Amino acid sequence: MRRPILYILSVFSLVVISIIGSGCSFFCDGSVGEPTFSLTISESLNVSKIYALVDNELGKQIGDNNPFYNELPVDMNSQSVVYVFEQSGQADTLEILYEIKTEVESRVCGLRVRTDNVELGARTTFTDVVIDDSYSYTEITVN
Amino acid sequence: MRNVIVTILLIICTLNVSFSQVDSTDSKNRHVYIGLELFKPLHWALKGNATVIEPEITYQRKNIFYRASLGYANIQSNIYDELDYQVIGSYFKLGMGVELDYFSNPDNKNDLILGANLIFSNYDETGDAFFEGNYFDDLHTELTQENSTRGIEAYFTFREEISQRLFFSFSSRFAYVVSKLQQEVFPVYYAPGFGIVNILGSRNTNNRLTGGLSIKLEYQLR
Repeated sequence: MRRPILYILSVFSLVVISIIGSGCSFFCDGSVGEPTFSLTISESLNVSKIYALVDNELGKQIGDNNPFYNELPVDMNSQSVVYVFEQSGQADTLEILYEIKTEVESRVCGLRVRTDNVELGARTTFTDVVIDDSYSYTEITVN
Repeated sequence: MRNVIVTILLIICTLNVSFSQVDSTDSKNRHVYIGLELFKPLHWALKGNATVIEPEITYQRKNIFYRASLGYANIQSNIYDELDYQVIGSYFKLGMGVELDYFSNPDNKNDLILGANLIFSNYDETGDAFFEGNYFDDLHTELTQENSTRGIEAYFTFREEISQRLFFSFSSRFAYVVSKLQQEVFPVYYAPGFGIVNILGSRNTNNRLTGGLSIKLEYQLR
């Protein structure tokens, strides 16, 4: 009586284990640290330096003096950042509004932070700004 | 949802057919048992920082078993890197089973039982998250997520009387999550009452079907 029971239990267990679902995703969204916006600036604007306002004062210079492309840091403890662009002795500002999303994307990707609902703020002095906001990255083009 | 209802009705009908076929015999009377799950508490205790308790009560009338169990789970896991993940919740199982070898040896106190349960599970998941800021300040936040998960479970049990009124049972079971898993913040890793619903750890590939083993000690009250 015992042996058939053990056979049945073993087969039942193997069937259960074998039909448990599986799958895997190796593409990771968001970042493991401070997220950034990808910025492209038109050559005609002659931007020389970029800063962000930290507690309403100029922070340290952003980037490596590349006048056309930079990664703008995002304040994870806020819902907006104002960036200041120096160009030919004058300054323009770019305000970006956003939401911060923190989540565990998967066991492979781990803990991630990303921005969501990225929009242009009212404290922007540029007249032509394009924001391309996707789930995994945000591109800002200033013309 | 309709499929689940049909499945449950089929199980109940199957059990009732079996019951009606043996109703004329009365070699076994009505019994009440209290039981305690041993395998899950031990398994999670060995993994560390985890507590699982699952007492149950069983009413037996001839070859039909009516079961209700109430469980509690508090599990901390390092399943996700850089996050102290914890799931705390309770669950309720209600169902019935039928003794399969009733005809073969009615005097045998060892039972072979096939049964099914409905599972109702409520639990919270939390985790402390830290992100280092380079330009701005660091972010330290607590992630939280609530879930109410419903499902069904089928089990196959061999139960043996090890001394008078004391029974030892070994079960193989599988459960299926019917309701939608709320997992905007975490992929749900462990659903109390169901088990691990996330072997590979991606919210897009949750396994709604879970399997497991169960070892219980049961005491016959009457």
